[in-house]
Parts: sequence; C-alpha cells; structure tokens
Amino acid sequence: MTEYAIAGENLTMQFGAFRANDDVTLKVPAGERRALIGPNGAGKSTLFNLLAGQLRPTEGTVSLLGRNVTRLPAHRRARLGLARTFQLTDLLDELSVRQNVELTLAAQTGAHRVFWRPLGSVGRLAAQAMEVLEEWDLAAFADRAVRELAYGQQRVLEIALAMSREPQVLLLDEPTAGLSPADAHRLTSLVAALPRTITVVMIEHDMEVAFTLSDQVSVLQQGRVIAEGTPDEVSTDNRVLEAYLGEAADA
Amino acid sequence: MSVAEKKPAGAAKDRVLSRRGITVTGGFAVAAVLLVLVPSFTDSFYTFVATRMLLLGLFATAYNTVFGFGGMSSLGHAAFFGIGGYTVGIAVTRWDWPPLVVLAAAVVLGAAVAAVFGVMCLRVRGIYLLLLTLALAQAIAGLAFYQTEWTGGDNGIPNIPRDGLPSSVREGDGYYMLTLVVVAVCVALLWMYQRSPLGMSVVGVRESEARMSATGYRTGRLRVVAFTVSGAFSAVAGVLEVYLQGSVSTANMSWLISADVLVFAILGGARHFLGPFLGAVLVTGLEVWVSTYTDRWTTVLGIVYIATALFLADGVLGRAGWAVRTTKSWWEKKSSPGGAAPPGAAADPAGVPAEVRA
Repeated sequence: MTEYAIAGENLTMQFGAFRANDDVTLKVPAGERRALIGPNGAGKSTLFNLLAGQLRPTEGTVSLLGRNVTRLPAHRRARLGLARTFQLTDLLDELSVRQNVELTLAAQTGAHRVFWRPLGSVGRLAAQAMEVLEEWDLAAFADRAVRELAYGQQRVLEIALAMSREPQVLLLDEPTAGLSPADAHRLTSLVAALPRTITVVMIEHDMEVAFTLSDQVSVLQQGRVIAEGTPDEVSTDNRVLEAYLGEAADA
Repeated sequence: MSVAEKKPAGAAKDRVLSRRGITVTGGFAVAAVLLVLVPSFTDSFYTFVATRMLLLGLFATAYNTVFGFGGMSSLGHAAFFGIGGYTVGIAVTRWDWPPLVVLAAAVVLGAAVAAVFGVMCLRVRGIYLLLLTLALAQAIAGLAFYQTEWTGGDNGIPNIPRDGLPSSVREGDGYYMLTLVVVAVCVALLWMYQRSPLGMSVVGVRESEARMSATGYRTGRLRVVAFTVSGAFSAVAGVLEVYLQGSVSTANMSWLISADVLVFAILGGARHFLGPFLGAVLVTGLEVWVSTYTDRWTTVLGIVYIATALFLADGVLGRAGWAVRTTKSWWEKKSSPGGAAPPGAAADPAGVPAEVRA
C-alpha cells in the first residue's frame, strides 16, 4: 500500500447533474513526476481539489503516503506533507512577501499558536523566511505587498511557499499559465530542479512543458482517464489525439 | 566633521529607522501626557464625554479584530457590549461582586458568547454573516428583554452602586483615569495579539481561506478565535460603560450600537489598528458638538455616513496616509527638479526581475 505517494481510487465527483470526475484512478509512486493533461473541463482541477482536500469525493478514496485521507480536511492533509498551488494565483495579497513566508513557516511548528509576540520575532521565523526568499530570488521584494509583485513573481512565490514547507507531495495547478515565455521557461527549470525526494503532480496545458517535465502522463477527458503512460506513449495514442483534435482525427 | 558624516549607507538607514522610532515613541508620550491631562482642562460634562470616547474607542478596536482584520462584517457586537453591561448590573446589585471579579466574569461571558457566534457563523460570508450576527444579537437582546426577573426587562437595572470601586476612581476625573488605564492596557493587548502569528493568521484567512487551509491552518478555528478575542474586549468596554452610566438596559444591546461601531471602524479606517478608535472619538465628539446647535443629530450622522462612503472608503487614517504620501512625493519632485527618476521607479517590481533572473 505504501508504494504510492498519492493515490486516488475510483474517484467520482458529482455536482448536481454534472459528473466532473467519473471513476478516476490515479496512482503516483513516490518520487515520480506526473503530468495531468486534457482539454478544458476534463476535470483536472476537480481531481486536484479531491486529492488536496478542498472537495470531498462523492465516491472513491484518496490516500496520501499510504494513509487513507478521504475524510481528512485540507489542513490535515497539508500537515501530513502535501502542498499545492492554485490555478489562479491565490496568495495573501495585502500582506508582505515576507509575511506570506513567515505565516507559511509558522504553520509547520507551534509558532502559529503564539499570540503575544510579533510574527517576525518568534523563534527563527524571520531568518528562515529570509533564507527561503534568498533561495528563490525574492529577497529584494521581502517588504512589498504581494499584490505589487509582477504576476510571474507571484507564481514563483507560490512555489516557494509550497516548497518552504518541505512537502513530500507537491501538486502544481498550471504553474506556467498566464506567464510570459521567459517567466514560463524560468518556472519550468525551477520545477525540473526540484529534488527527487518530492513527488510532483502537475496540471499543464503546454504539451511541451508537460512532456519535458514528466515521467508519466495521465490524460483526462470528460471526467475520465482515457490514457496513461510515458510522454512518448501518450503522444502517439490515438484516443489522446482524438481528444485533442476531435472529429478531425476521425477523418 | 565632514569625515564623520560620511557614513556607509547602512548606518544612514539605521539612523532613519531610529528617527522613526523616536517619532513614534515621542508621539505616544505626547498622546499619553495629553490624555492624562484631559480632566484638568474639562468640566465634568466633557470629562464624561472623554470617558465615553475612550471606552467606545476600545469597543471599536475590539470590533475591528473581526471586521477589519478578520474580514467578517458583524452586525451583532452590541450583544457582547451589552453582556458586559448586564454582568455589572446583575453581579453588583444581586451579589455585590467586587469590580475585578465582575470584569473577569464579563470577559469570560463575552468571550464565550462570541465563540458561539463564531461557530454559528462558520458557514456564512458577507451579507449573510451580517444578517446572521444581527439575528443572534437580537436573540440575546430579546432574552434580556423578557427575562425581567434578572434584567428588569424594558426598565433595565437602574442605580447600580459603584461602592466596590476605590473612592478615588469612583466618578468624574478619577473614573476617567481608571478608564484610561483599562483601555490602554486592553488596546496594548489587542495590538500584541494583532501582530502575533495568531492575529496575523486571522488576517491571512481574510486574504485567502483556501490558501491558509492548504498551508495547514484550521481556518474555521481562526475565525472563532477572532470572534472570541473581539467579544472579550467588547465586554470590557461594556463594563466600563455601565460603571460610568450607573444603569444598564436593553438600549445597551440595541442593534444601533452594532451599527455605530461598524461606522466607527469604517470612518476611522478599518485597515489601520487605531483607525476605529479614531472613528469612535470623532463620531462621539461630533455628536456632542452638533447637539449644541441642533437636535437633529441623526440627520447629521446620516450625512457623515454618506460622505464617508463617498470620499473616505479607507477611512480618515487611510485618507491621511494618502495625503502624506502625496505631499511627500510632490515635495521630493519639487526639491529635485529634473533630477533622478521618482522614487517609485527605481524599485519598481516590474523593473527588477530582469536582473534577478540573470
């Protein structure tokens, strides 16, 4: 059971009459890079929300590091070693970059319960936060409000926050979406450089990025996994071509 | 001398910081002296007004831990204010409890009821939170109205003796000083809480609940914490009010009080720690001043509300900060005509990444 870092089995998510995920099974072994691709509305983000705990599945189970977490809320899964980014950048906009990091670090220890001392003065939070910011080239913006950062920097900050928690499983929801080619390239190399001790599952629309970064690719369409395999296998799979090219492939 | 003045940039920065530190410390010292001296300049009526300004300022500051920093619009804080008041009324007239015990009981009761509010409001946001807190507070006010045996119903509890207080602080200037000390301690505690990891994580929930829970925070509990802290200190303000007035009634729980405190916060500037306090002082002062000319205070208050909504979206302090920044940049531009680029451009976030990336 423990060989999978994160696994969803027979996941179904029903929103009223709409079935966003239909009997999806996704098992990612530890250390693997897995890309999720598929057309818009295929249910990729819903699957992420099921894995990370933002949603609870109608049916099926989710296990994280060999433990059944189907009924655990998002914050408990986060404490078990799961980190994620959001498709639309979701940071603490009015707080400074430094405070974003400090709050993220504080959640990992008892520091978040302190209620009598300023955030930056607790333990080594401030020093650790600066280390994180220097590691990700964000130190120059430490005291700026996050909303003042360029979009590309916000995306980098999201990954920096996720990585600062030393997660074992990292879910990246379209890390390069909306970025300029230069920023996207930078982010791609940052993700490629992540240590292999971390299992990474990413949703990616850019095929080139997805195929470069991943060991295995899962293709979703209309809430189902229609293909799974190495980038080479998937890129020549007829069902995948059909999903992306539609009727044209039949002709 | 010229050699000594050529210090490295770091030292200059330290000096600027310490100058700022001196300004802040000096500002607080001056404010403290002025506040202590207030009774010697005022007659008994204005001392009474000043006492009310202080306790309403504390109420508004406590309210803002939920409203401005927690991002939750409550219209039910009169309940906690009133609970503090009724604690005094009931405990003193029935059991003759000493003030410190009354205060402790009020804090516990205010915190407990606020925690219940927080739990019941976990699933609602925005306008629905506003309505639910209003409904809950009205339910508590209804309880106070109908439990006549305990609360005196519509008549309330009149003639609450202040014998428990030391005679030097029982009324007038003495009571003003007592209020000043209690309010200063409470506001300082709230300031410490707000800057702490716990207080900041409540602000984090305001900014993004999804982000905070994905980071490992129990966001629901943080919302309840915000309500609990707020309720405890609101009850302290309610206690001060009733010791000042000598009576308590359902008017202490009227929803109008919830509306007032909301306006204090918005008018003063809900994103600033001292904004709501300033708002409370301004509105209370305005009410006294306007009342000397006309009895149409509510009309004037209505106009103030509208003006605030139209011109002071971030409150008086927000406007003041904007004015200071504008003046500063205008001054810098003027003092270096045709000189270097404006200060913003050098550190522009969009400008730097190219170097950082390289």
